[in-house]
Amino acid sequence: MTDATVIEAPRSLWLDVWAQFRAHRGAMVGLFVLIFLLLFVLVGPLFWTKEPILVNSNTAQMFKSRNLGASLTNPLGTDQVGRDIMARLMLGGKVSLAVGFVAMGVAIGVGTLIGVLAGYFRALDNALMRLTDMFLSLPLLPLLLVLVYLYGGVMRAEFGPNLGTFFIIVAGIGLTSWMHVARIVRGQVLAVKEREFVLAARSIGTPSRRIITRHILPNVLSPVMVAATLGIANAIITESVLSFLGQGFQPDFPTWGSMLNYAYNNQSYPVQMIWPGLAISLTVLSVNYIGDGLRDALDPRIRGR
Amino acid sequence: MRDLTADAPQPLVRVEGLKMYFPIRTGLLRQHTGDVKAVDDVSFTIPAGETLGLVGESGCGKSTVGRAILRLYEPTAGRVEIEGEDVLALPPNRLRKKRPTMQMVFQDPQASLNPRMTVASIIAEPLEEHTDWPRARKTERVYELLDAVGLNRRFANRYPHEFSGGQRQRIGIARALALNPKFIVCDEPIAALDVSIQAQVVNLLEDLQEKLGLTYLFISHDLSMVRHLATRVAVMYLGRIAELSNSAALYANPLHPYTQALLSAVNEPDPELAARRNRIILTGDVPSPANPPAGCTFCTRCPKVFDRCRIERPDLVEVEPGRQVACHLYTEKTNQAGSTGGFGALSHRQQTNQQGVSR
Repeated sequence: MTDATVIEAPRSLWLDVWAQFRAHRGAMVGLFVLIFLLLFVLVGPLFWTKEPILVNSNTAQMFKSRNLGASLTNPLGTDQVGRDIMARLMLGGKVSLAVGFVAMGVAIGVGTLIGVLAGYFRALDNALMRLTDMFLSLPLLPLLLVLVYLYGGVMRAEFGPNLGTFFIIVAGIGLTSWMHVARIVRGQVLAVKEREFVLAARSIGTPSRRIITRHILPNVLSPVMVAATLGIANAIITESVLSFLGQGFQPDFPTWGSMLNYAYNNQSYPVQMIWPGLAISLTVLSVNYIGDGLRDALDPRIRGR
Repeated sequence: MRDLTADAPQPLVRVEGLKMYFPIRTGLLRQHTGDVKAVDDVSFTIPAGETLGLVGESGCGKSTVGRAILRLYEPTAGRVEIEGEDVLALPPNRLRKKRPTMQMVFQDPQASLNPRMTVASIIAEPLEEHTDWPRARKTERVYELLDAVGLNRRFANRYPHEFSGGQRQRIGIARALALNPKFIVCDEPIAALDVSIQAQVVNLLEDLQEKLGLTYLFISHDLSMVRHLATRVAVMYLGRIAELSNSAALYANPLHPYTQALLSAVNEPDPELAARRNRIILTGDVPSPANPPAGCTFCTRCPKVFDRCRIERPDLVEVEPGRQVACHLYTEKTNQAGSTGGFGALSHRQQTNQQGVSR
């Protein structure tokens, strides 16, 4: 046997994962783009202090500053009521990114929970999957509209107009988009559950909850990751649809989705559409690449190759 | 090989009337319309420190017996006493406390190790579950176990896919040993390995038995390995034990017609002997365990079948000291066919070897 002193201590899993993640070029680019976007929306407003919401009360000045092209004072131009697009992009990004990530988190959380319960505990399978089918058969957009219409007022009264709207939108989107995740996870759990290492864990005496967290969840991670990255894009778009239909944030409050919609209706200035569209695309693309890299990094068979 | 005729010590494992039926549900309302009788009334004992070989063809219920004993399935009926405690009647928390005494080595070492865990965390899992040792002590125990199964301590940080089949099986054995078990069910531990590796793993199991005083239930379809390893052998057919005997006597003189057929299929390395031996080729297929024959389960394929076999199910009875057979040939006083035993009794069936050469 080898001398015990030369043996390295058990390595941390996360160091290995990070080493592999760094080797994935797309994932690193995605990570930098996402960090740049986050800095842009979080730190940006500290340096770029133009007014994003209020319209200039001096009507003559407002009219003169409408729909301007790029200039030094307005690097991305101004919108149809003369507000600086860059400032609006920063404020809107904060909301859009938050809605995207949190709503996706809710959807993934609920979907994974229901999928794992249905897949692992046979007694719950039928009931939970019929519930999933029921949600899938609902027309989601009208449901969301009704949901926001009914409970939006209560939430706004409770948390203030913007935070209340944020909560109701995130909850609404999250609770209407978990079904596909639940189905994917259930299918994977059914497959993984029959593998011998789960039987081995049971023969050791590992209780079900730790079999799920230690053996099953890590092995169903890949499809969840893919669903999550696509879910972010969906949530951002759904939020813009809601805002467009007048049930989301108030019309003067910018989000990437609503900026895109207003620009779309103001087609003589297509450049106004580019910036929010680009921001949404970059977010989705970067998250997608990060998810791809993370999935590879978490799989020991790919790691170290 | 040990002296087999000596008085057996108090058995560590006692299985009585074990039945494992898997229900068949059909129709819209999932009505219970029948059972797959995977294991039907199996009884045996294993004395401490000994190895019971459990052999039989695919689908005869060998693995199900092993899993039911460890209560990985909930058996339909029966008692399984390990150290005098009925495992099948234990409530979940007591069962969990009992798990360290009984462990299992699995057939497919690729499938029985979680691909996302390092070797160290795989072997440490039983320690995580049943001890509250500090991390350093767990690590030390993992290294000890790696030494015990002949793996380099440097491998602790690697993942299962980086190992060969034999090494993976050693990891599985180390995991089973982690909590100092007394009884290990080896569920075809060598079936998925290369022949060259099989011997290594079997020798490791033997060494560990000697060192740690382990008791094995060795499930296999490899008769020559069982002969090498087991002190006693149980031959299963369609969920029931056909013959239970000490291993030397069983291989020298198989009593049950099924055992005779099974042994005649073992490869003979000596070409001279191989050409001379009589292969008993059984015709037909194994009946469905959902609908076994009314009498002896082997009556549909048995070369020596007679009327009574189709009506009455034979019990497992002791016909010689230390030898139990479930066959009417040996319970019927007038029938003397059994006394000849061996291959000779069947010589009329198959005069030629596989190449068709008669010697």
